[in-house]
Amino acid sequence: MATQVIGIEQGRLDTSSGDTLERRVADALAAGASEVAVSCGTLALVDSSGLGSLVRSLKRCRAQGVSFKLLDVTKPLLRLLEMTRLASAFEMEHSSRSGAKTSV
Amino acid sequence: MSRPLVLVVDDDILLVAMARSHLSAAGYSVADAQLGAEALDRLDERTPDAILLDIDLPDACGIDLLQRFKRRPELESVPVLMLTGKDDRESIVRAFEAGAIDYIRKPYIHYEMLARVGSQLRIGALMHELSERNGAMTRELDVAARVQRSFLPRVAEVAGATVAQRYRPTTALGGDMCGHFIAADGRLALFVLDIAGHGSGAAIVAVAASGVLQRAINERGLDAATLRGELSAFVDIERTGFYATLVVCMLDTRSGELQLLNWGHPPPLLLERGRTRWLSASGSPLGVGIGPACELQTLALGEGDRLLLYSDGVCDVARDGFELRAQALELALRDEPTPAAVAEAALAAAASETIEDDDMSLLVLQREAV
Repeated sequence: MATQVIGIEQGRLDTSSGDTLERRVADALAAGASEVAVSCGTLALVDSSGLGSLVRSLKRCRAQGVSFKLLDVTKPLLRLLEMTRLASAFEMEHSSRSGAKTSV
Repeated sequence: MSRPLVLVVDDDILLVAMARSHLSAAGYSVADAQLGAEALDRLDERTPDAILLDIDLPDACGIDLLQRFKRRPELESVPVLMLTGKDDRESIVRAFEAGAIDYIRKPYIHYEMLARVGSQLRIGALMHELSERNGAMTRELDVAARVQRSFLPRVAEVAGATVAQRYRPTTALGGDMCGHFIAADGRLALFVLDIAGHGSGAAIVAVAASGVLQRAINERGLDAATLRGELSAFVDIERTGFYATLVVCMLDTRSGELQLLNWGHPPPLLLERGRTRWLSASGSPLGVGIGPACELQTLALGEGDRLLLYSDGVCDVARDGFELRAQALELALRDEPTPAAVAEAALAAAASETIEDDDMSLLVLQREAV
């Protein structure tokens, strides 16, 4: 089964968009995705709940042997991942690749 | 409960008599007035639960009278239903603007009038109940917030150091805890703990976890494995849903040796012989279960050197404008005359960047001559 690309389009990853993200990731896993990618290109604001959602999503994918990556990571998100020392735990990539796309 | 009182204001004596009889039969108490001046007298006698008000009285315009009613605080939430004629369409709009809640066209059909009055009184009662409950909840939250504040440790005076501590939660209860205390081994300990999330859940976890943290520091000093183990009961992103960032340090005020542990917390800012330097975290946040382990950092604080600890509400890396806020903190730490002035300047800089939706905790430490 193909890569599922999940978009975050309100420009912010917080409690509510984080919950939606986690649901989309669960759906992608249930649908048998071999890889889950989150498109982060518009993220201007990530709060601690949003970061928690990324961590939980990563761990859920890992637990099922599915790869999880962040696409087009913006400066604020990268700074947050570096500050919290989580940058090395996430696989990051620039987009320009295809895949089934759903949006949060 | 006493019968709700309806005040009927209309110069049509027949209409008033009919309304009185219908409303009484439906279980209401009724007061009436034929003139505006008389209506004001009735209101002085007793505050009604609802008012039926003629839009056109002989001595007053009903809408002007309505505006006068609404200026009285006790009448602010009392529903006013206008009694109107057929051609009052424009006046009806003005009446709504002035605070009327509904209108009844004359000649009215009595069951329609009763239904409208009844529904407005039910809405009023619900609003009242809601505001009572809201008040009770706010009072409880205030008590809880005072309790939480009372758990923030601080000491009045420390030999060999000055500390300024500030704590501003967004809501009454916050996910931040910060404090400083003299540990069992005589060193000065400072910490800022941030439980991810706001509100009562995060606040309860923060209070409990900071208590355990202080005990562990007293018993074992800055032992990363011990602290992580003790706090794992509270923070586990999968089991409890919470994770935390934590920066904690201990200063030997005589030698100036400073030990520091940082689990994913915003980098403390050090002022060392007049120059500022950010101290990055070595470990990932507590409870996330991924990322590197935390390692002990050791520094030497000279006389006049300063250290700023803060939560992400003060300087959030994941928001635009981060560089400016970071610069403001550097200037404050370097140039302000005292730790208290640094704290105020740093909070003012954060507030001017309109970061209002995150808790703010801040500690400024300055080493003094012993």
